[in-house]
Amino acid sequence: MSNILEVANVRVRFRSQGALQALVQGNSDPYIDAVRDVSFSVKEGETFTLVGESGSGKSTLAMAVAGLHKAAEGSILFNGDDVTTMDDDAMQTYRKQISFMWQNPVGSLSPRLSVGSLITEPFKIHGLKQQDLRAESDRLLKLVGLPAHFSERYPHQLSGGQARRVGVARALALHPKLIIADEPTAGLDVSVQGEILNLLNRLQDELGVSMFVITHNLNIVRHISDQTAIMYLGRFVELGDTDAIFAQAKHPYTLALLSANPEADPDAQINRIELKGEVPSLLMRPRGCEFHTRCPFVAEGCDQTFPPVHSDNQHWLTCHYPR
Amino acid sequence: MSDNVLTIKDLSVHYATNAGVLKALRHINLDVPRGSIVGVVGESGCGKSTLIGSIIRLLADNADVPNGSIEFEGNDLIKLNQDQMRAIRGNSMSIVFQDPMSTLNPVLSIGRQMVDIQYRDKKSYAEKLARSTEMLASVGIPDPAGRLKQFPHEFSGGMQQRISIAMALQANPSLLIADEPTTALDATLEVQIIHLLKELQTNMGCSILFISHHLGVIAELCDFVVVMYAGEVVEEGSVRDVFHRPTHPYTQKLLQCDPAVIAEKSRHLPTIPGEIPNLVEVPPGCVFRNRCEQAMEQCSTVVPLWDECRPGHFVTCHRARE
Amino acid sequence: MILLLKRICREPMGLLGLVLVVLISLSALLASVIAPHDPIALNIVDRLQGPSANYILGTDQLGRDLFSRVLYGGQVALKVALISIALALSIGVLLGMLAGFGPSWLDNLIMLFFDTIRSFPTVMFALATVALVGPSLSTVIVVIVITSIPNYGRVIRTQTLTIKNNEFIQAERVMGASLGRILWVHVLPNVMGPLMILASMDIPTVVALEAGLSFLGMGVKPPTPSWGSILNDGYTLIRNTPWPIIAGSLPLVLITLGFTFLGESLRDLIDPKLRKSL
Repeated sequence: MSNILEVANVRVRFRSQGALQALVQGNSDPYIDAVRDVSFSVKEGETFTLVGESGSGKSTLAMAVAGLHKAAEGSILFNGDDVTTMDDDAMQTYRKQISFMWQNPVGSLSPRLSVGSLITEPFKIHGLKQQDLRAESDRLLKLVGLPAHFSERYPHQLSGGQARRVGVARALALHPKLIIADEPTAGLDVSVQGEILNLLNRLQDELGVSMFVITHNLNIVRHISDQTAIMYLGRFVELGDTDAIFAQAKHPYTLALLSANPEADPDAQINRIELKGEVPSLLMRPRGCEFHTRCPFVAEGCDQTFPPVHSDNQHWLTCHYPR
Repeated sequence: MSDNVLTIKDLSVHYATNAGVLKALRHINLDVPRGSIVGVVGESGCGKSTLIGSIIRLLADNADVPNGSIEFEGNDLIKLNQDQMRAIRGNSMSIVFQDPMSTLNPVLSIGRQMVDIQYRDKKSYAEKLARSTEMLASVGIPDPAGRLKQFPHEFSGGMQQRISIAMALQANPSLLIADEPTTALDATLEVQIIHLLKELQTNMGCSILFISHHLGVIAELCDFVVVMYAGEVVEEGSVRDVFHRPTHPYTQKLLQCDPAVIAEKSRHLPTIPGEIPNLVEVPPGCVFRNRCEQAMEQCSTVVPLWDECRPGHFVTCHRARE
Repeated sequence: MILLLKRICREPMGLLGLVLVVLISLSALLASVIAPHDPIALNIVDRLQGPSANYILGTDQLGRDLFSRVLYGGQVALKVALISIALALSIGVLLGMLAGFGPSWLDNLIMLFFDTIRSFPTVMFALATVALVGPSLSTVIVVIVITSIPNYGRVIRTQTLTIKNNEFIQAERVMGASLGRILWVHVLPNVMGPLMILASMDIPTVVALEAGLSFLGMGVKPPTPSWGSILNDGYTLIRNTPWPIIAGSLPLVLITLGFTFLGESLRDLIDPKLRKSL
């Protein structure tokens, strides 16, 4: 199976100060790195999940893959073509082959357009108006399990779950090869989360679409993901086969995340690995291993040198003292 | 009859809308025993916000309370006027909301806000400042005296929520209402806040009414659980009873569907098909009827009664009586 | 739309405003049908008469029927108001959206343009232009358009900046929508609401400006009736008869009240709905 997406050493930066201010303060590098040196690949027909907390840079990375943010360094290869060096025409072609599902289900739908118009937006944007848009709208609604009359509704009339489905329908309009889903279960009730995950899994089985999922909810990862990466302060700390990560996580941060999930059982043993302090500011990255300020297993050398990479077949991580 | 800090009996709340009368809460019974943490579990549309609004008596203009009582510290809150309620709010009863940034005034320093809410006390400014510093320290803010001068945006989300909790507990309330305080936070921050609430509750002896849709958090933090669905309380009991012996079909399904609970990897997760019914035209019989797999004939016609199926464990379900 | 009208009618102020606006607009539109006399026809014999069955508001110093002049004056007032506001809106909205959405250098440039115009006091600017170009209806319109563009532009710019980073706009960009499409289909309908209300409340201001210029003799040329010129005549004739002044000021007062009441109830009704639906 080939790789549909190959990301290598990507860095995404944002200006932290205006040019004049930087000059006055003698700041030679007025940028913050939201994403710093990230590499991974997604196999065709597979789901790759990125797990991280707020401030980890996961949404920024997703948007860089989608072409919304510029990658300052590195390459993003989609079927062999580098997204970072595409011209406008190539970009438009790329945009037809990928789609994005947004975190806010209702907020990502243009408020004055009906569901039918929203789902067929991709056709209109790319000038494919000769298609029978009404038929396409019906087909897509059916695909996501919504009744045809929903095409007359407006975003504010939809529940969270329904709006999610509309987002999925829109994402499927042009038969994309890759769907990027940012927090697909955010804002959904627990009894409805399963519906969306089932839908995504079914679509992958039926249509063979690859998925790149971003989430901070570890509970859903196991059920949809083939490969998982854990992200902290803009870098990957651990990456591998999902089952391997859940069964034998080695990085302290991954272990802390896995243990931070309260179980729905009042008598459950609480084996929590508590993290100290708060996420450091991107303006002042810690020296050495960037996680050492919060690591419960911090030891000699963690604050001096960058942690080495350990990689054996399916499992990759950077840590001085993997568990 | 145990000593309750809050007793809600047969409370109903209706809203007058263009489409008709929306029966948001129907005959709610809920107890918060003194010194305990009661969790309220429910999904969208269950009436959690209306419940909170009724307790603190800040409901929308088109709301009406046709029946019921809310006993708190010897008063029926429904019968009090707004002046009397103001003496209670922020004093013997306080509330922490989901989004700390909306609770905190962005243009005033934390210290200023924390001193301001002590306006009822006839203490000196220095004493009030000291109390605020003490509260900040108790919620785990490092260097509290120095940070009193800072503004909300200078704190991270987790810290802002801690500050909100400090402000809520400053007047030593007998009841703290927490409305989804951890929903917006990451998992690692969430467990820190739960830990904090548990600690504070033990030290200060206040009771907590904790609203959340996160089952794991409820299981870990709460002593008692109340399950709400479409405006009714469908199950209430100790946390062990509700989680280990769920009696109402909705509770059972909820526990089955939570992706966290499903230990084995599955590409096809269970869900609860259907939607909550229209609360303007409440269907006859049991409100969960259209989504219940165990429904019987009388479920469509007879409204189930609030029944004690086990000591201290209440449920509204026809099946429970069998 | 119909729902909106119904809700306006429920408020007494809104209803009054709506009634006044409709009355004045209709009377202006149908002036040629309703007016009992020719507004510019001289009839010296009947000069300076008070109200009577023949002359509802009396006559001016040249014997012209004041009522007919008021009706036709309404045409001038509304024509100036609607054309100038429509033009100012179109240009202001376009520039505002570009300023809000585009790169910061474009924003700075457009804001500089706006600020330059706004630094001129409106009336001075109007007088200066008229002095240069000569009084006429088109001059008045051009002056009003130029001075109104920055006001609308600024409001639209702020609205655009607010929704620029909303997720649905990001979603459109990821799908590859062009700037034009984003602005026309997705930004414009979501920012126009407050602006329409602002524009409707500007109508009385523009009408007053036109009346003021005409009062000073800098507006429409006689004998074209304008409420301002009626007022001017009334000013000189105040010792002889109060009726020209009443005739000139009454419509101005009514149109200001009408549009203000209507605009205010529209704003009360639309804003909370906007918030809810957005």
